[in-house]
Amino acid sequence: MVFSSLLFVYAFLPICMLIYALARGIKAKNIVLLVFSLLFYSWGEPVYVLLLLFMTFADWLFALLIEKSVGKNAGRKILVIMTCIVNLGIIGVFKYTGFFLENIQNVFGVPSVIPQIVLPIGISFYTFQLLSYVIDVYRKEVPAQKNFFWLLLYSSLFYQCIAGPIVRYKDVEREIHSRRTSPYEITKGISRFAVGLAKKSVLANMCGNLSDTLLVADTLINSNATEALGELSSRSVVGLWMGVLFYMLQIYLDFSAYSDMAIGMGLMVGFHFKENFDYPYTSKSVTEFWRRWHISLGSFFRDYVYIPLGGNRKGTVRTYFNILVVWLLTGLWHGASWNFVLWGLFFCIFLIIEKLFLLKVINKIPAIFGRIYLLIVVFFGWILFRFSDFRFIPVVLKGMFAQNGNSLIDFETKTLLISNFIFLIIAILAVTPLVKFISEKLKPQKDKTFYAVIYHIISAIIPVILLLLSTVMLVGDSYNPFLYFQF
Amino acid sequence: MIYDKPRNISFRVLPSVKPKPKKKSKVNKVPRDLKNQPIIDISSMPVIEGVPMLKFPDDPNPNIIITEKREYTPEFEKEIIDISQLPDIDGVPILDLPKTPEKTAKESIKPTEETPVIIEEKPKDKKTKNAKKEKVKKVRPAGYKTHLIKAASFFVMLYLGATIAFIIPLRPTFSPSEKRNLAKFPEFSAEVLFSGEYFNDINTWFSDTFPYRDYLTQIGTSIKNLYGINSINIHGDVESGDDIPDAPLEVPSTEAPVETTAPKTTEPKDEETDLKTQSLGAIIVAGDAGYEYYTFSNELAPRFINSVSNIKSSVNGDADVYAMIVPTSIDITLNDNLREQVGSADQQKALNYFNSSFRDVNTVDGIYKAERLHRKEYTYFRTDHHWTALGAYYAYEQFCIEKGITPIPLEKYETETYDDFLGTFYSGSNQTAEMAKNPDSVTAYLPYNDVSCHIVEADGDAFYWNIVTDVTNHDRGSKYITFIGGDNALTTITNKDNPDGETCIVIKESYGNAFVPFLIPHYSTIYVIDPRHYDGTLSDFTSDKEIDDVIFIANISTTRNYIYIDAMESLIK
Repeated sequence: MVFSSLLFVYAFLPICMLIYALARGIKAKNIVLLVFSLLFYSWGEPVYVLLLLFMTFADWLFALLIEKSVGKNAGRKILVIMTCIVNLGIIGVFKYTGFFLENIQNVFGVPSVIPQIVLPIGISFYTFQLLSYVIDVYRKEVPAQKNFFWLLLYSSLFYQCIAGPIVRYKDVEREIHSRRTSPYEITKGISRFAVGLAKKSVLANMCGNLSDTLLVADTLINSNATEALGELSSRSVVGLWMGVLFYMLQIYLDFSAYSDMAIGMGLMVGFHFKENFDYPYTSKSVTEFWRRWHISLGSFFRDYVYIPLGGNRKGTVRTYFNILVVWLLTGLWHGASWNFVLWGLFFCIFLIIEKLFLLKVINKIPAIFGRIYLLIVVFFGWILFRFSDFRFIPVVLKGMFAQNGNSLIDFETKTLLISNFIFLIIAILAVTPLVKFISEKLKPQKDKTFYAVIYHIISAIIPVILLLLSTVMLVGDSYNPFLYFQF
Repeated sequence: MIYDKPRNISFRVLPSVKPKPKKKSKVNKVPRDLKNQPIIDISSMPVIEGVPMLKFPDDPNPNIIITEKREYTPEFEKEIIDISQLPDIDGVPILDLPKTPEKTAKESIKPTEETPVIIEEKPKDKKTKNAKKEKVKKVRPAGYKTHLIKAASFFVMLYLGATIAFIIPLRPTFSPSEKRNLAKFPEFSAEVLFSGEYFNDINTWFSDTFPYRDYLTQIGTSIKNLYGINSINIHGDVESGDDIPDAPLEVPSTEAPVETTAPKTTEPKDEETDLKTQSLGAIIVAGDAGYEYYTFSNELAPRFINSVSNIKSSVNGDADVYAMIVPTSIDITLNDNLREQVGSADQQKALNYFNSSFRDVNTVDGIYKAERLHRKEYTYFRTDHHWTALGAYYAYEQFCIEKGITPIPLEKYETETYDDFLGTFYSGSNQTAEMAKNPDSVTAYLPYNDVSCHIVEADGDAFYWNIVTDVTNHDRGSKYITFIGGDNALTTITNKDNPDGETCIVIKESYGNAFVPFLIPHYSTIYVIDPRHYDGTLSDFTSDKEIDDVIFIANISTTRNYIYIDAMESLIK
């Protein structure tokens, strides 16, 4: 099940909220959430829900053992290493076996048959969440959860289990035990949810359609790669640039929408999840970009890989090595394919350059230059991200500079752009904090004035309109998975 | 943030304690060492929505001022509030202010019994009998009602939608605009449950059959029209296609029949094949008219040419084979300016290629020129990929020239016109509003002969039908079937007025429907075969008949329709 589906919005969510509201007491409420979360997960993965249960159980045990063995440092260390091996081993088997074996096959010729292993949904997210829990217990930052079901609630909570944000146990521990909501928070949650839903159903989906038309659709790549390559090489120059632009918009709107909905729904029941996106396309440098994009992933790698490796405290060379490791892993986390590793490496190079001297330069020149620089870097980065099959990347790059014998613009591209230029403007504005800025400026200073009444009426209507708009757009799409869904 | 006026209220802060989940009472009496605990003046605190915010004591930047330190006395017990039990926003506990700030402004800093910020207020008159019944006057922060209304309005809409979604009878089972049966609720079995298919199908069913689906989709299309200037729209994926060869196809004289590798052979065909989902190419919509893109396929062209060329040898006896490949509207009625820019392949060139490559066939070459000549007339539908009967007539004239007979003048026929036709381009373009405002009308020329028409369907059903059916009450998208009852396996048309006339077979796809009625006066019997539905071979069919002519008629997009080509290859075996 995906958040942006009619089934979720009009069946799952209303029923869940209703039963949750009727449940009295925190224990009952948590049970409701747990049951619905497991149902939500099983809906997409009826067999591998057992894997989720197993991993939660294993990590629950490990954490308890670690906590009990306070004082026996060696023992604790062994336990935490075991946890890492189990967790990472499982995700390694499911996600990376094929990739690993393929590479061995390319070099050595064996094995001849590569097993196709199904990737359970959300495994990259909940594995990391559980790992962060055990390591935090080891670091004595949070007490172990004695109740297995409360831990399961944390790892399976449907708001973030499938596609993030990667929530740390210590951030939600208190709220698992006691939550209060107020109409103020519920309204905040509603707006957030409605905005996320509309961002996805209205904006991201359309950007995806346009990007697929201008570039080439995944369905064609998977069914007939040669034909797809041919199609791609005949695309016009403008078509390719615009196609990547729409993809760049799509991936942000898609992913941040999911986090918006998670945060919004969390607020409705009293959870306060941390922000996962902070208008990343307004960054002035790659360093800043990665503090604003997929914040929970960046901070995970920082806290659990970069800092344990020594961070920037073991000399310059070691710092760069640490950065490299973190970025190769970040790339690899996104997908079991070399283009993702390359994508990670791509950013790593820019980060190192910035660290060396570029940041100082950027801070001195006007902000606009930094922003343009960042957008260009990120733009080309997404090309690497988009195509798992390496053959496509040079075709796109050559085509962008008219090296494929392709024309500057063709009729189809022109028609597409003319019929969607207003949409493009809206999508670009959605990527900036303009709307937030305006809505804050418009907030009434005093209550009970005529203006305040109008303001409140409009701000009550807007989420409803967004809901209706999203419904209209979703009817008709019968299938719209989130891009980050296969993680 | 809205900073409120300072209030002279003070109370005591306790160090944070781990929350204990079970307490119901809002005021906790916690015995603790309270000596030297600071008193904090909340009047300097920022407020959110009228409610002052407190920071935990270990916060390095508390926005509080410590005014004095007091000795602990037992009276303090009453005013101690355990803030760990309070609700908070972002980790900061919130206190409720009492409703009458004016009163408290007069009070001194010294704590009194009424001192403040308790969620429960005790009534001033102490009636011991009603001591248990305490009036709980909840003090709410500012804006509470506003937010309640806002939240309620959203949930009302959500639950309204949910209710509608669950009224099962409201869910459509068939979509008239998309011409397909909508998804069904899946059958339950352990197998589909564990493979995930069951849930997936429920998902699809829920979205596909959502109540008022067609109406909502139309609204969606209207909204998408606001995304830019939509005078011209392209629907579907435009393919680049292959280059059309300059020279005709060369084949070795001994040809192997085409049983060998057909890389895209399909499974045994589904009887209810929705022909419109078979490769309707990309559509360009300009205003209220649609046009289908044509691209040439290097892979399929030779197979097509061979199939048509083999017709003569697979027919028993010595029949004359005529091939009529018909251009589509994109090269005929689309205005030339636009046509030059559109990336659709040159149909004139393609037709020349096909016509010069056919073997053992009399090609009707003049169709393209004839249609171009009459392009300003109503020869092609705007909302559908077919031609009109008038367009078919001009091709018929060319056929007559090739065969050497005189065409019957159009004036000899009486006509029937059926309005409000919105065909494949309408549904294929997500129901373009301009088309709906200006639908097509289907004009049929009524045969003046005494004819009988016998139809055998693919599943064996056989019945008599009409040439030209009244389609006034038919679905808006289906009016093209008025001519000979649509595409069926075998249709036998007998002209009782011409018992000694010739016999012919027409091998066609849907373009043939508008064409066939014009042949009636010239033949005694016309056998109409659609290879996609007919399950047999031409040689078997003609083994007991004397056939004079075989007319093959198809539009140019069929030359790259692999399903049709597969069917042709089975037919001519």
